[in-house]
Amino acid sequence: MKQNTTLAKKKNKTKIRWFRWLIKPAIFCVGVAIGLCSPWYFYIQHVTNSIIHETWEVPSVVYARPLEFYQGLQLSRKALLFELDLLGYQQVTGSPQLGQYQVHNNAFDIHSKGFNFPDGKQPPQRIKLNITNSAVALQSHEIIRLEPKVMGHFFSSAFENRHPMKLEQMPNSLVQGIQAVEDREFKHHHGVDWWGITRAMVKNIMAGKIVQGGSTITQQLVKNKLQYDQQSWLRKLHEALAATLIEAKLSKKDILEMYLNEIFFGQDGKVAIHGVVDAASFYFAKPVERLAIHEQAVLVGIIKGPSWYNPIRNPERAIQRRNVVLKVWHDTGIINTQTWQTAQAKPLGLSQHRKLKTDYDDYMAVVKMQLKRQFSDHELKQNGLRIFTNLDPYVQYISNQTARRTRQWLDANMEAAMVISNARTGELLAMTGSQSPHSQFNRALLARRQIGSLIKPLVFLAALERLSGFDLDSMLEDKPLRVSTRDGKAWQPKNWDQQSQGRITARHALVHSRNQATVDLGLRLGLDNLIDFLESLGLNINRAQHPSLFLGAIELTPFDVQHLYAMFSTQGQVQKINAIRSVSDADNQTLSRSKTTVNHPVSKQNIAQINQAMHLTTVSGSARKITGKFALTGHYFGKTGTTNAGKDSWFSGFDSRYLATVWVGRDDNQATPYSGSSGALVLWAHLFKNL
Amino acid sequence: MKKTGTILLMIAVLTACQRTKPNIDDDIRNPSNEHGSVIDVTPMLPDAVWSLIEQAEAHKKNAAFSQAINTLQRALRIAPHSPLVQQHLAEMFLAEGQYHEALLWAEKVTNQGPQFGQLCQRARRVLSLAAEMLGETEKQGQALDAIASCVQEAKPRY
Repeated sequence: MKQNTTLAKKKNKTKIRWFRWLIKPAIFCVGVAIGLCSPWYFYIQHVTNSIIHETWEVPSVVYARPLEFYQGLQLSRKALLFELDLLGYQQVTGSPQLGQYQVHNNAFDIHSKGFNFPDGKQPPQRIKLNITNSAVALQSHEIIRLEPKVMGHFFSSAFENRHPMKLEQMPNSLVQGIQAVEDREFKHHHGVDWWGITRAMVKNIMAGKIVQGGSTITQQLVKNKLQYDQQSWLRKLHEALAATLIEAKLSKKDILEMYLNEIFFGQDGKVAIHGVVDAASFYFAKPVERLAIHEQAVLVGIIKGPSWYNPIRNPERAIQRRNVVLKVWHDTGIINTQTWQTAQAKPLGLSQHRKLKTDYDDYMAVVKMQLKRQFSDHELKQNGLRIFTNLDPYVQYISNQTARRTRQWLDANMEAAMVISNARTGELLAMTGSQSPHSQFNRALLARRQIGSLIKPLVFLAALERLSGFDLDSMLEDKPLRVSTRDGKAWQPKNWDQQSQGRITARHALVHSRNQATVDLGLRLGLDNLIDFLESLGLNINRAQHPSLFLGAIELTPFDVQHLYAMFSTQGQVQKINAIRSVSDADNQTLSRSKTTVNHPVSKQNIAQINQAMHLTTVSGSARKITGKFALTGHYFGKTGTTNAGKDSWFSGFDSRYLATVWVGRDDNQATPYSGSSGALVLWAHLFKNL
Repeated sequence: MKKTGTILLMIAVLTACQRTKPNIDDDIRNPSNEHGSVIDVTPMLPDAVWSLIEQAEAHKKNAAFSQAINTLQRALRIAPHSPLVQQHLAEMFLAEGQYHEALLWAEKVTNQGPQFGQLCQRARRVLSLAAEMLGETEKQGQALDAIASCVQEAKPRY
């Protein structure tokens, strides 16, 4: 009995020992599970939730004006070819397909790509037109336009370019093709393809390093979202768990849509290209729904290694990869044999539009300035707004090219700035802030310089408006005079040629830019009267001004001058030079459009008188080089401006299409040997010759 | 008796002639039919502008006023000083409830557009309606009064 009891006690002790031996690791495991795995699980839960509920920061896109064709439009062959190249159109000899054009002498046959404009969607169409004497004869439509060029974005700090699209809007071949290449079991697995992982694991163990991935589309989505730098087993575990959780929370359709809008396709400078929409636009300058099979295959091929298979840097490698993709599509029945063979024979077909990038930064500065009054930084960088501007890419290109040659025509220290707008509507077409493409200082918008004789048309206009009985046939005295200023000093204005012409008509004084006659008129008008008039035009003038204001002793930027001269070119209709046409939201609802401006409170007849004198200036006056030396054949209007010792040389002039203000001078405000006609006018004339 | 018969026959024929309208459209016979003015002004415009005006009208029928305005602004770029396009814009802004813009465009047409005819009347009507919505009663009254000045009545013809 005693023996039995002892045996039982021994057994109990052994049991307790075993129990203790077992319980300890169990408690340890539970502890580890609670201490490590639970936080990890909750972390992954948090990660998946943030992936699912993430709202993308969609940058706003800034568009140039669309080129609109209609009967009689003034357009040169050169300008049209530039525009087509800029938009990524390919010239072909046969019948043009989407995004291609055929040109025979001056006859163009263009297959446009279509665009969702703020006033409605325009489908892709064939446009047939002739260009005769720089005028369009449209054969296929009464009015039709090309899609606008993307000239910039408002990025968030992440510099990601992305425009999400619904899965239904994407081409079927692309949607199926991505599954065939990246994850054939996508429809059947629950986030992780265990067989694929096992297969990859065996290969990796045999190779001694990671050579193959078994990631599903869902795992790749997680990987893109989490942005791991390196592959590791822990990362794979993370991905697997997060992918499983995402599959439990989202439908297959939602996952695929998210993937196609998220996947990384390479870099455009410092900007990351995400999603098929932007990849199609970047590589092929086309909407994704218009991509041909071989182009879709290029994009799908890039996914495996956006840098390694980059079609711009490594075209041969990209073609090989594309053909692998096409073979997979053929093997899986997505495309038939004939399509496969045709697609394989195609070249890469990348758009060349990136090579023609022109510098829009100066123009963008005006866009930003005018947008900031209505939209916050947050709205611009994250809400995917569509901003339609008046920028004319060809005019901007010619403006940049002209400014770049400043030092070829003038001294080595000269700087330049140009502003060009539509002469009839006041829409800002182009802006160049320097002769150098590297300069960060936008002189056209920011450099305040004295305007010299550019003020004279305004002085004479003020006299026409406010001096009764005055017209341009009235006589003025062009003779030495002495003016006492408010501070008791004497001011003695002189003419540029140091001569005085005596009694001359007001018209002659304006056409030949006579200083003494202008001051004579200014004194009759009165300084306060002139200031009052200039303020009614929107200028902010210091009331304690010196009478030298009559001769332009007032500092304005070229952009300010453009506003003033737009009054002359539009015959008083426009007060404001506008860069922006309209702003739409991502759903194409118009949020804002350029406001109607009231007319200048100035008589049209008086403006017409000044315009007539400014025309004579270009024929026989201070700007006669336009029709003389430069032999421009149109009907021009303009005025030169020079400040003391040639520190600033100005010309502002227009024809029926364009108004341009040009400034040249030195950044250090030192003297130059140039007057308005020997400096700024040279650039202006070359600009108009090439437009 | 024969003479009397001839006279009666001639009277009957002449009466019939007097009652028979020449084969000319009413629009041409009486241009003032709808707005009461014998002088009407229809500015000449390029076909592209007419096409855009038609597109804008189609948008208007679908109550897509914003799209109609965007379309008319395209037309305005081709013909910036066209009072007809400006008038359509004024009407579209009025329909969209942007009374200030409607008033500005209607004022442009009133000041720079034709001073007789249909367009003249339409501009002043829009001006008065926009002014009313903006509470500018004096301007509204002036615009209403000015509508009558758009009518150049036909002088009696004998």
